[in-house]
Amino acid sequence: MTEPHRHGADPDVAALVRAASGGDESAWRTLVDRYWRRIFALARSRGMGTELAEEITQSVFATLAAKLGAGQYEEQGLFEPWLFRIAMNRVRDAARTRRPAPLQMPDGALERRPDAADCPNFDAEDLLALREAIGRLDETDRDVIALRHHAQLPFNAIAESLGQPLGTVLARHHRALAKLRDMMSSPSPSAAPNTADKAAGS
Amino acid sequence: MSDSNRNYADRPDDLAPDLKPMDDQLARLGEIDRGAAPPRLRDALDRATPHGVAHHPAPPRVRRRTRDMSGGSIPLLRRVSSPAFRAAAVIGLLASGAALLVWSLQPSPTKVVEGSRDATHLDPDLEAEIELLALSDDTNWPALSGADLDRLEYDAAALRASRDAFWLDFDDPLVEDSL
Repeated sequence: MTEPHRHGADPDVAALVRAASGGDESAWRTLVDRYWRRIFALARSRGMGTELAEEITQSVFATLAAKLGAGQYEEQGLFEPWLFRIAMNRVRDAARTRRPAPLQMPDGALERRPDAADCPNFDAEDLLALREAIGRLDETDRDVIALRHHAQLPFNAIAESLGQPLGTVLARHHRALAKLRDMMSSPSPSAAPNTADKAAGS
Repeated sequence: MSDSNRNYADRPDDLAPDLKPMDDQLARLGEIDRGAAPPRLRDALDRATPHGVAHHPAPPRVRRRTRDMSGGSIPLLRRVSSPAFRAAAVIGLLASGAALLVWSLQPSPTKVVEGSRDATHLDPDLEAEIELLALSDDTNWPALSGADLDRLEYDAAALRASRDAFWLDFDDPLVEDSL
């Protein structure tokens, strides 16, 4: 286990957690607002369908509510790593016992993009191919990618959540990006641009 | 909090330029998956406050699953899993199998009917036809089908046997006397 990296901790989160633990429903709703989509997306990153991702998200928040209500969480500036460690464990458990949903994009997903200038040559087929490529990464690299880009955690929180040194996490992230770039530039036969095949795979 | 307010803005300064497009694509994929979260989920989570959970520690779904796994509320399954029930089921299956075997070895009604057939049950019309055929030339037969010929052959043989049994011996003195 590494030393805690608390320089990325959000003091607002600590106050919210304390208030929610004390029964402040408004603080609880703010916590939900801050994390529900990120936990849902973390489950989606592992190929979970919408219903299963919902179930996992509910399970994580049920655990959070139970622990906060029972006073079993002691605020030390590590709330996010703790919360996403719970979430990642739930996602792994579900991935072991459930068949992943077909790879697909949510309806109208591309229309919601507010920052189109970041990657102008990126369409739905590319996104499906990227999902397939992520599924071919090693589990540790995949966890780093999911915690970084789906859960939007800072690197120090990822390191804390995975119990790895910050340098290791940065190196893994860099390596995973390079692998994905290579896979996307020369896709495997299973990653051919055939939506039906992709939907039946992984 | 808006989804666009990324709190993971600690992008490494040394991120290689050739990896930046992939970093952007992953950020885009994450954004899409976060955007796919259904609003009903948010509503449900808002209601599951720590205070509410403290008063209702086990959601109904969790309690139901626990009860099912223990088998405590399913007495029928408990009975099925008992050794006595399984032994009775095996004996019943064996008895049923033996009864089915005995029944299958019984002669069928069709066989009984065929075995009792003899010349005394010949159709009178057929018998007349056989007589006619016996008097006619073989060249008159082609109008009959193969099945007809088989049946006639069978019945003709039976008829001959019947006649042999009751043929009067005119050389017998008793027959001569009776005539």
